[in-house]
Amino acid sequence: MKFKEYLRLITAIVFVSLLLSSFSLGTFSAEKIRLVYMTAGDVNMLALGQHVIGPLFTEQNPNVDVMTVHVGPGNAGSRLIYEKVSADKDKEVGDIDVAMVHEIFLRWAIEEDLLMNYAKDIDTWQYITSPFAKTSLGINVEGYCMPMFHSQTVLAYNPKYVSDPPKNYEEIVAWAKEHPGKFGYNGIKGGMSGVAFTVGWIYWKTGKYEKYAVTGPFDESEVATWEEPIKQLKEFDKNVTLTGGNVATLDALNRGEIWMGPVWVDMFLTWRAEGKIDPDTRILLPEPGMPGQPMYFVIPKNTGHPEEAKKFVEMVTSPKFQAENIVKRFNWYPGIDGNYIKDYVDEADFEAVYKDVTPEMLSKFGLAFPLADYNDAMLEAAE
Amino acid sequence: MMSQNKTNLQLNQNQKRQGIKKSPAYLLPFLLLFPAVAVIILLYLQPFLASFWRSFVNKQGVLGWQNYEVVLSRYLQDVYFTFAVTIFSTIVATILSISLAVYIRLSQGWLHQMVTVLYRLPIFLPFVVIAQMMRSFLAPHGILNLLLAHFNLIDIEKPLQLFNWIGLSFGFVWKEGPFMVLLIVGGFQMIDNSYIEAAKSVGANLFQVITRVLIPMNKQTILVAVTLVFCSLVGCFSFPYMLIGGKTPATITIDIAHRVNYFGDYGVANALGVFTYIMVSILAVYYVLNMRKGLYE
Amino acid sequence: MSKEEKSKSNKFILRKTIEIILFIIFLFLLFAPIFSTLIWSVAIRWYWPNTFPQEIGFDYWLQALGIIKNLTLGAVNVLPAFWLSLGIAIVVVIISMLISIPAGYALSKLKIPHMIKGIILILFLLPRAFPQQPVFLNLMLLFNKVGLNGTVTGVVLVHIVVGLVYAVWITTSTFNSIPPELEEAARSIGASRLKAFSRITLPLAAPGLVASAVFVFLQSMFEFTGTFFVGLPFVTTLPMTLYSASGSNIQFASVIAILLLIPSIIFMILIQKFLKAEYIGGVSG
Repeated sequence: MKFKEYLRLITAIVFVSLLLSSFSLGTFSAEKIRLVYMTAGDVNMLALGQHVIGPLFTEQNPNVDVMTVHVGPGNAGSRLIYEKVSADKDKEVGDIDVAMVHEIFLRWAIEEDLLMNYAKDIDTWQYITSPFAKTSLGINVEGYCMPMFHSQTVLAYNPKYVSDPPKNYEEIVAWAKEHPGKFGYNGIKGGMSGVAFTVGWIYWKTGKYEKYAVTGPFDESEVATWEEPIKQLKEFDKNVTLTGGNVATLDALNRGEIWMGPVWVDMFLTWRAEGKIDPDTRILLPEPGMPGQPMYFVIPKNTGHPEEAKKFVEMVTSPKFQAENIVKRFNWYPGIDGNYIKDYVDEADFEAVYKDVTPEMLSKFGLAFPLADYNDAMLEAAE
Repeated sequence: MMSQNKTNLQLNQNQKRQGIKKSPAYLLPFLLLFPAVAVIILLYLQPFLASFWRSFVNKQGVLGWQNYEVVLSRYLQDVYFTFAVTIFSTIVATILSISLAVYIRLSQGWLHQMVTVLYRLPIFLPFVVIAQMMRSFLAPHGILNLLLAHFNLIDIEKPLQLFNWIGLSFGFVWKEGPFMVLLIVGGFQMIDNSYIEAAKSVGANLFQVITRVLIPMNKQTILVAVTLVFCSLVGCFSFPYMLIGGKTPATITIDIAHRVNYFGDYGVANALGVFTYIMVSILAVYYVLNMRKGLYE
Repeated sequence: MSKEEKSKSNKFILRKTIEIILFIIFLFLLFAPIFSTLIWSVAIRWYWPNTFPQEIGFDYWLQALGIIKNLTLGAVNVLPAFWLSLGIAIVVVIISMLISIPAGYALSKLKIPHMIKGIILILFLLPRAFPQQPVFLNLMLLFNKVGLNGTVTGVVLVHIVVGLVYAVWITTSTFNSIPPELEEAARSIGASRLKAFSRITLPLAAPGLVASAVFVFLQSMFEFTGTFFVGLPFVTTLPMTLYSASGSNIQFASVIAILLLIPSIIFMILIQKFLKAEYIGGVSG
């Protein structure tokens, strides 16, 4: 009995050691360079990295293998990338070569000087016209990042139940009163779509979008002016369904529990493509607008492969790639200026992206999240 | 306890008579415990203490009680909520699992056999998965409500709202209940049938058998189960986050994630963590005090 | 006489009916949540007001197993993560049991002041009680200094820490329920402590220890927060894949959830005979 047990034990240990060693050794030969690409966002970012960007890059650069690592959706994902890069900062060579992050990451990382200023060195910088590439949350980020795609929060609604969709925040409030519980958003915890709605509310009530998001400066006394709008927001909340997060809002739309709610346009389109949203669902941008943010490529200062990392970003921000993958495959807004993409994509696909929310509407109503300090203050105030 | 002491004494005397050298009484326990305690101290204690320390340093780097002030002024409701939901879930889980354990201990039949095997299923699922399941099961237009509406027990336009402490407790009990049953049934099996027969023969009904015989004789296992479950629930993150993420009140773990991911504020996050630690400590102290009373002997 | 018999059999029918009703409710509460995950794993298109998906298919399954690749559906091959999780879990179980069996024995059978026993037991409760994110972040910083981040060894160590919570408590409880008289009897006739342990205590405790091992295995298979912080970017376990998918893509998340279920259920069937409840609490027949 005892001997058999020992034998089983030893076999198990040997088997497991073999198994594990096969993973530690990895599949990379000595000459090949391994580029570690860490991305926040949803699982389709992982799929994109593993099945499209990786193979394409290796095709163009045969001595480089791309390893895509996914950290999870939302601010939590970007936070994790920040923790990792920050923990690595005293190392000579960090583990991460390229990362794809949300706006808030830039704020944390630039404060600690973790990033390489690379954007002006690469070819595709010329295609960037969006102000988001130069300033993010009020911080000067020029050169530290390249937008991969732009995402915008919009109001999604089901036309079967919403016969006269509200065109501005005022009408949203009225509609919610008439249809209690049928408008849903996640407050300020758990997802940026809810935060976007709240921020947009404050923009609407105070009318001070320019000061809060573009020019500044941060003025402590402004916080007091938000007391009344936030009280009204809490009143509004009584007529709505509070969801758990970005996904929970989409979930509720999927199950018909709500008929209208703020969503990220890229998440929305992906869900529709995955058959989880009624294909008749439409989107709109209510006046005076809702904020959006791009997802950025950044390169940590102590990457072991700066040249390859730059080439990587260059490839994904090239008009051809943007046209074929960002615009055509996912129907998202490109990170580079839309005009450069027109050559590579046909009319139909271009139209599909801008169907409900046209470029004009975007330029008028696509706002930015407030300056960092205002951002913090608003979040604190609304709690 | 007495018999053990006596035998030990006898052994010592025997060994002394035979002139056998005896190593100091603390050496063996120390050696046996050393690897386990070393692992915890090396790998966990430093990070834990670092967390504790960081709770006293706020974002600007100032040492003091500011973080706790923020917690008390803004998150106190959430602290109470976490405490309340955890205690409630633990109590419900304890009652249900003792009931189920009694059934498993006292019943027979094929139905009983099936239950004995099936109840274990939730033990083998991670909380992340359970969160997913509960999200679609408990939703206003989820399977539970659809079914109830199908049988005309509720109106689908006014469904049961379960994305709150009720749904949270349901999920907690669903996940931890079977684990408790497993431990408690083990203890019940130890109680010989003769005790139960004896109690019945002096006229005890079922309830009295449970409260006068089964539970008292199994106190230690029940306490272990309650302690482990309470601690697991208080630190649970994935399930509350997915179920009640944006709402108020939220659990402490949700607030911790919020402070970290939106503000990068580890000071308040760690201060919140200390509150859960306090909750656990209260239970743990009660447990240790009970140990002193010789609960284990 | 027959009246008594009748009332007895009526009582019996009543009891059995209640039993069956409760059983059905029990089955429903147990399986219904699992059922909804099952449906989502094969739902290609499903939205309100349909009670069941408009279109079903195994696309997400094929993608999860790496058989087909489809980008707009956004799923990834999870098999490598699965095997890694399994391998790590086995190593963790072996090491954890080697550490916790002596510790449980010492805490149960040896003379240690109650105060110290209490402190040690509470020490082993901490990793489960204190919220994991802040602490494991600090652990990541610690591991950075010794280069354990992003390695399988680091992840194994984290799993051991978490696993020891269950291992030490359950082994202690198991040894507690073995009457000390048995071991003392052996020793009083001259057996050494080690012999008494291996010949008497260990076989009696074996099923309870196996239960402890099962819990450690499960903890390791499902461990997420610590693995997340320490494993990035090179070690990807199955729960991490589940987490990365659990946001948006419900179908894919459901597939992974079921994939996580399978080794667990197989384990449950295999361990069936060891988990006979009487062993966890005490003495075998």
